[in-house]
Amino acid sequence: MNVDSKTTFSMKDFSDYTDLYNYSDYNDNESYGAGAVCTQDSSMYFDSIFKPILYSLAAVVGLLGNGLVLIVLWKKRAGLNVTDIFILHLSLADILLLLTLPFWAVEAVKEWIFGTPLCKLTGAMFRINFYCGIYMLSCISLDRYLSIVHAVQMYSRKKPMAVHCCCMIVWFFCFLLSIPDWILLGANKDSRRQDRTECVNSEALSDFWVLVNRLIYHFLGFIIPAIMMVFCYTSILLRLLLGSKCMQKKRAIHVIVALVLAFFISWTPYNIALMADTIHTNRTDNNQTSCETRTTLDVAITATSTFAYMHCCVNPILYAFVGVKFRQHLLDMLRPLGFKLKGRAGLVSRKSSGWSESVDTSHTSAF
Amino acid sequence: MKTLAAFLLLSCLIAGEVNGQDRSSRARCFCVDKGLNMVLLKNLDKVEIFPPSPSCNKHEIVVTLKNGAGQKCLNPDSKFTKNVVLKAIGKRMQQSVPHSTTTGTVKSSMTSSTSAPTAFK
Repeated sequence: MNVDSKTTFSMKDFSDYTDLYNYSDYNDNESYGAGAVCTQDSSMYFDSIFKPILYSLAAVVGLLGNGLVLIVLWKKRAGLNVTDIFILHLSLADILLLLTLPFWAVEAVKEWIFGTPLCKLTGAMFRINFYCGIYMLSCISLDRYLSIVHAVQMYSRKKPMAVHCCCMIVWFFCFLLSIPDWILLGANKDSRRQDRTECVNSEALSDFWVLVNRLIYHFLGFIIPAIMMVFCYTSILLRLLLGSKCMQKKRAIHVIVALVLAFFISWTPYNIALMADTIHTNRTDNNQTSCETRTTLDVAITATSTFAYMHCCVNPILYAFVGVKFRQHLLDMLRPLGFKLKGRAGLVSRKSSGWSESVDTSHTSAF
Repeated sequence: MKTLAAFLLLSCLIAGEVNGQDRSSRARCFCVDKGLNMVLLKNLDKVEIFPPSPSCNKHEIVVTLKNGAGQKCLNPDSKFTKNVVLKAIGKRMQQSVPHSTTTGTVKSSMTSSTSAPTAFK
């Protein structure tokens, strides 16, 4: 027997059986709460309020910040150094991801009204830039680690194309990760979600594949980048702490701590929420609280994932605007527009001789 | 070339992770447990059968009870379900043959209503 779409029966469909059926199976003592129905109405309502507001805010703030970064870097494109190029690609990835947020906001409020081709494009674009942004952060930390701790120039300033090639490899890898989206995503109606059309795979995965995909995400999207960042920045901090104390080094230390904290504050809650959901789903639970638990998990995942996307808005501040040179370029760009320079903008901070080995990196970054 | 092959393999491993934005393949069926084995027919107001959909890969049967008693899940494998609900499906299928209907499509391998009902696939 196959039922291909939702089917509804009213009482008249059973009138022939009412008096005939044997009630021997009926058991009044069937356990309390058995047969509980958990709809997704509460979490869908939360999504329809929360997502439009937060996604709009993230899109506006993030596009402004990242757009400004792109403009400044474009103006000085002849003199970009290694970190500049990574930041350029990071901002591009963040912009592309933020551009998809309005679509998801509309989907949450109404349904997916943009059709299947745009569903594939938006979903793939989201995934490519979701991973790409995280991997660019890892590349930046690795570059800084090599420059400062090992005094190794991974790329020479005279060969910016080598850095771009490295970034293209990252983009290509992230594109590979999005291939399933191109193939499987579509605008599909879901009878369990108020018959809304949504941008999803047409079939739910088996429990095994849900688990596999969660684990892959946790490793590729969080654990590996986190390990890289912690290792690289910890090594940098140790190197800085060994040297003499000076104002500029203290500032560099603060920036590094802020970078790492921002990454973990953004992404850890989301990963924890996903883990909790995975654990809960795989546990047989026959009590009433499981409905409330599931709704709570749905809300938590929506909230923490949105919080994670805010990282795209913070990146320009952490990676670009902290740079002394970067701000000078920004001010140079704004001066023709009539902005007044602050008095201390003319001051040039002095570098101690201890900075000579990382002079190239300090061209843009805070240290 | 080996690197490319590794990437492709990795990509295939993620072949199932396809859920638009952030639903992350969450399984969200209506029924938390197997469901009730039967309900009193006199209490029934409505029966809804849900096929597999993007958020759940199983068939589910949700009954709405009279007098505001709410909704309950029915165990698709119980004798009650097989003898009463599936027969109603077969009956409707037969009725829909002579004329078109907008009711959801119902397919059956049953040759007549007297055939033994089969469980959901």
